[in-house]
Parts: sequence; C-alpha cells; structure tokens
Amino acid sequence: MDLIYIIREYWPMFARGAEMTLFLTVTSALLAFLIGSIVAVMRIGPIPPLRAAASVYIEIMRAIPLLALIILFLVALPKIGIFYSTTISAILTLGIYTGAYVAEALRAGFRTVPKGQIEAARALGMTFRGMFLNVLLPQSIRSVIPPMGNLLISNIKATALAGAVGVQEIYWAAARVNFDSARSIAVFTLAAICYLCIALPTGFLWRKLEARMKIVR
Amino acid sequence: MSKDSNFLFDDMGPRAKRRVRIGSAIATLLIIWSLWVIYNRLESNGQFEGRRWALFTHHGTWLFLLGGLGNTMLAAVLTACISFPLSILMALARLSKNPILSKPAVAFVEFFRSMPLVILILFIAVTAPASGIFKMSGLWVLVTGMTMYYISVFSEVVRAGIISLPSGQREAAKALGMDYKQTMRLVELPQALYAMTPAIMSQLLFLVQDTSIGYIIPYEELLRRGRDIESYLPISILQTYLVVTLVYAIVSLSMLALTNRIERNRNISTPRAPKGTPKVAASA
Repeated sequence: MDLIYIIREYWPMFARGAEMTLFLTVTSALLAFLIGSIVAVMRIGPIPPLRAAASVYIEIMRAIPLLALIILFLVALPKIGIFYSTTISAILTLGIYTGAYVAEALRAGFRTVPKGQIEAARALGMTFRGMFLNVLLPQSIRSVIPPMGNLLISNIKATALAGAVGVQEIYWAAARVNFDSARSIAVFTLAAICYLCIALPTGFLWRKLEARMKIVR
Repeated sequence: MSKDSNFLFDDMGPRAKRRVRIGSAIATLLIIWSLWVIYNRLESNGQFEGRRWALFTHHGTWLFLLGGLGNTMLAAVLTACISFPLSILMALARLSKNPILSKPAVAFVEFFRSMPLVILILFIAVTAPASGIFKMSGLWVLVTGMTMYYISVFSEVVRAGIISLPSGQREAAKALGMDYKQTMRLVELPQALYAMTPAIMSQLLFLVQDTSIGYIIPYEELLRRGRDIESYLPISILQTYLVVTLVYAIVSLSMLALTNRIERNRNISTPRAPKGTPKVAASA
C-alpha cells in the first residue's frame, strides 16, 4: 500500500518536519504570550500613546491575513536584503501575529472579573499594582485558559502556512515528498495524520487543564 | 479614556497626572524613534525611490488588483453561502440524541477543525486531477476545502448558541405543543443565531482572510495577483505586497466596523420574529 511505502521510504523527512512544527509552535506560542501580555497591559494602562499604539497593533494584525504577513516577512523582506534565518523569521512572524490575539483574549479576560472585586480592592486601599497582581491577574488568567487553548491549536495549524514559503515543517515535507514520489493521496494522508497527532492530544490535554482550572462562581 | 479602564483607576491626582505626562512623552519618543528606525532601514535600501512605486500610478495595476479582490470576495461569498446552511444541519446532527447522526458529526467536526486549511486545500488540489473523475478549477478547489473547514467551524458556533439558550425556552415550546422541527425553526435557532452574531461575524472575517490560501493552489485572488505583479516587476516586490496587505486591511477593517456597529445596536433592537410565527395579541 502507498501509505506504508511512503512511511518506510520518507519517514525521516516527516519526523524532522514534525519536530520543526512542534518547535515552531512552542517557541512562537511563548513569544506570542510574551508580546500579548505586554500589549494587553499597554492597552489597559493609563498612558495614552501606549494605549493607542497597542490598539493600532491589535487592529492591524486582526485585519491582515496571516499568509500575507508571512509572505511580507519571509519572501519580500529577504528579497530586498533584510534577511534573518527563515526559522527565526517564521517564529517572529507567528509570534507577532498571534500576540495580537493573545492581547485581545487577555483584555477580554480582565473584563470577566466582576467590577465589585476591583472596587473592593480599591476600597481596601490596594495600589494599582497590588490590585492588578493579586486580584485581577490571578482570576483573569484562569478565565482566559479556554481562548488560549484555541489560539494554541490555531498556532499549530498556522505553522503549515510557514511551510508554504519554505520553512521545513510537515507541510513542506509533504509537498517535497509528493513531488518526489507522485503518490499524493498517501503523502497528504500521512501529513494530515501528523497534524492530527499533534493537534488532537494538545486539545485533549488543554480541556483537562480547563476543567481543573475552571472558576466555579 | 475608554470604558474598561474607568473602574481600574481612581481619578488621578496632580502627581499621578504628572507621571502619566512624563510616561506619555517617553512613550511618544520611543514610538517615533522605532518608526524612524524602520523608515531609515527602508530608505537606505532605496525602497522609497519613485521607480519602485511607479507601477501604482497606472490604473491598470489597480484594475488588476481589484479584479483579484473580486475573486477573493467571490470565493468568500461562495464558501459562506454553502457552508453556513450545512453547518446548521451539522450542529443539529451533533446535538441529536441518535448516535448514528451525532457520532459521525463529531468525527467530521473534530477532524476538519484540527487540520490546517492549507493541507486540506492542497490535498484537494493535488488529488482531484489525479483521481481523473472530475476537473476542478482553482476556485472550486479553494471553495471545497474552505467549505469543509468552515462547516465545522460554524457548526461549533451554532451548537454553542443552541446550548447556551435557557432550557426554559425548549420546555415552553414543548408545553405549547410544538414538535422538534417547530421548536428548532421558531424558537431555538433564531435565538441561537442572534446570540451568536458577533462570533459568526468574526469567523466571517477569518473566512475572507483565509481565501488568501488561493495563493498556493493557485487561484487568482488578491494575494496571488500581488505575486503576479511582483514576478513581472521584481524591484517592486515589497511595495506590491504592502499595497496588497493594505487592501486586505481596508476590507477587514470595514468588516470589523460593521461588526462593531451590529454589536452596538444589539442592545436596542430585539430579533424580529421569523415568518410563520403565530401572531399573539399584545397584552395590555
């Protein structure tokens, strides 16, 4: 059968591809979380230029397709001589893109904390920092776990777009092997299996985490 | 100051105001400085030379790009119109008590939701001609792949909408003697869809943006047309993609504005009763 043939002949390519996909997912997710947290704090903080910059950034990222951004950073900029390693560019691009969505999710999370709690914290004489770190953050972190899971899954899927412009992950490996072996159905079935093997367990584990961390009100 | 920050701080006193002013000054300088760095990097690369932008003075370029935008919208509208009705059926199948209906629906939704859209579309693009049964144009390859994906996405949204309805709605409909079909058509679906309008709108935004995958098949949509221009005039590569990105941004931002408008008006207007609702005299 074609599928077995493909696995036997080309498994190192797919294994390396899966490794790259995982690496890209994890690093870009961490970067996105870092960017997202900073931008979310900028967005709700008291300094007007930072608020404006944060909301412009979020709006722009929501308004452009990821593939357009990837092509801009991984195809157009290298061709005019502004070039970093493809992997680093891919991590940066995915991190910057997903970061905006993380910021939005965090901001929505801040809103789920009942207003009375913040007023209570203020009535108790807490400073903004004390209120933020001890009241707002611990609760909103837990309420943003479900949207973060969705973002993580879409980040896994987004790495495939980076494969389309030459980052050597599963999609790239599949396109290569397909060109090489001309057994397209088997090749893409295997690629699909690889993605499902990454995405489905991640989703499952995340739902476990969600159930554990759920706020019972 | 926007609404959500009002309750985070007290009204500021003179000292806090001074701090905010200092912070604002520093932040403004930082923002201007980073824009300046980017500008300089591009300027020293010669990206602002007139010859690199010259192609955008020809109206033919714009017509070509707008044609691409038309193709983008065509693919998006086709996908939305096909996938949305099917997604309602999928949601109903998944909610059904009959495992013959619900099990395959769960499998379908989970499978297509966890799969990168590019893989799906390329799979169709590569295997459709290989199977030799039917020939598909780029448009239909794109629309088929996206429809599979968006059926599962929209069906999750619709399902969440139906689940989140208070159970009293269903019980009241039952008590009035409505059967399953009437309950769904007249009571549950209209309210679920109304409640889910913001979620549906934001998925529609993703749908429009996802048509850019047509770049790979290839289908002559906006991003692909950008590539066509760029391969014809390689010196304008950055400019072309910047303009294409800008066009996407304009389309998306107008959709976002529409979404916000709908969301603002939601509190004022109530959903209209669907056709076929028995008329009840308003009680005094």
